[in-house]
Amino acid sequence: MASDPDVGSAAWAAFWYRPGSARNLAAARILLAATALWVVLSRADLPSVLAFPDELWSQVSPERRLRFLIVFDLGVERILYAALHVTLLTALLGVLPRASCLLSGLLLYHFAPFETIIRTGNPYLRGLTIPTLGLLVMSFSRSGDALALFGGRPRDLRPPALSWEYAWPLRLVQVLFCQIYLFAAYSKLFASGGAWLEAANLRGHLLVLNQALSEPPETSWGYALARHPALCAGIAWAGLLLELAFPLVLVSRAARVLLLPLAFAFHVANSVLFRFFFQNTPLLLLFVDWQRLLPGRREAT
Amino acid sequence: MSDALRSLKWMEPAIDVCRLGAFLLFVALGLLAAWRAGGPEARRRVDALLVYVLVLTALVGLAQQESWPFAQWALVSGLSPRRIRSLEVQGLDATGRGYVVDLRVLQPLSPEEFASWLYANVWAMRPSARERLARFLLCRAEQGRQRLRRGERVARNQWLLGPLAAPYHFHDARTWRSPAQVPATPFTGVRAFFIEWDVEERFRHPERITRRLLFELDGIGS
Repeated sequence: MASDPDVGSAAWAAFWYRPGSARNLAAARILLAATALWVVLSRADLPSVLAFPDELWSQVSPERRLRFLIVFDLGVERILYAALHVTLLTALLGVLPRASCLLSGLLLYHFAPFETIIRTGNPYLRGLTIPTLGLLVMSFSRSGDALALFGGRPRDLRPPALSWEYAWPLRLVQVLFCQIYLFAAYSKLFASGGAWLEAANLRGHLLVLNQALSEPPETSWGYALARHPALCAGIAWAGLLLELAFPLVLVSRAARVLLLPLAFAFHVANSVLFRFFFQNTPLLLLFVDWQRLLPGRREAT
Repeated sequence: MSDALRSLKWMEPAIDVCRLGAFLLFVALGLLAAWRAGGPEARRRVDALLVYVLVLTALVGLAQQESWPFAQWALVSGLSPRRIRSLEVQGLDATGRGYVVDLRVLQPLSPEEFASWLYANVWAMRPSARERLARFLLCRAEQGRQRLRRGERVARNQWLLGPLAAPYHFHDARTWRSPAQVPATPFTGVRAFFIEWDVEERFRHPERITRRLLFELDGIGS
């Protein structure tokens, strides 16, 4: 009979190293690069924040500048920002994919905080957190062995065999993505306890967000929902349960079939009702088995 | 525990350096894992990376203390406040008439970042600093007015993708929808207010808000 450490070790190996497909890993590279490129193309001249009045930078310590290497002048930053567009495009297309992913990840680490740096060095929920980590993970792995114009393998070879080397990087990015939901639920209970689930609390959030962000709030969907306490309570419970359950997609195909569409609907509802937008919604596609869906030859086992 | 950690504000610079160290260690372990493929040694290097990421993200998530890009993912986690405030900027024409400015003119900075910064700092600012800030706002408001009058997009973030551009996390209120909402002549001054209200009271009576003037710059030459 196996001892507990053996069981744990086998479970660890089964989760991280069960042979995976080069295509699924490459699809993750493309999704991460495309999502990041979409956000970057939607932030016009981000380095120009450097030229904002000095007062706005007064609370940014030298250590925080050092943390994100915000030490160059505006001209250099604009060149680097242009370079980020190029590296994201080459990561997406699979031109020197690992080098492109590494440069993209490092440049995203540098530029993502520009959106919030005057107030905080924590630019989460701005759409670049998972792409930053994910593209770095792609650079550590053989993410260019498939779906690449100029990848790491000669193009005339048959598709690469399933390998543990294609499995762990995708699993790691999926785990990082699931943490969004898990810690979002945990943070609600950590900060507010059971009171967060009360109808009055959810109604209050609906009113606050729509009063602050809708023009005019009176005609918003959030206001319409706020008039129905039972619905407010139901949505609070449903949202929290979805967040807690979402990590099941890591281990269950049935959970993926159920929870991925629900998560998509959840983000649409958040956008319409609460006026906040989740830029990483396309990354739900990280959980799709592209090896089955994409045309072409299957990989050898 | 989280509150206790937040109270150590004076340690923030040192903690920022530690956060940089946490990120650099992640990159270093990743590069080590990538160094050579195959064999049990390669698996051990990957194991080290995986364990590091899992431990670090668990610490960040459970303690609710960021070490970006390892995030705590708190999202609307507090209880809803009874009173809130918002920023309103008005551009002034030569006659002194005020026009509400669409805060998308601040892009690539999001309105909520600017407003949050202002809440935290405006009362400690010297008059000369407030004037510099007001001139910056006036410049941005006037550039936005000109774009709107020319029929261009107010939101500079939409320069390439138009309405398909990725929004900020919090949707911006689209204040300007028509050129008629701004004067034909340039803004010559600017006012900034905090608008404050009781959430439930405003739900019943939309007009019940109070304005608190932060600063005013009246006339470019003044």
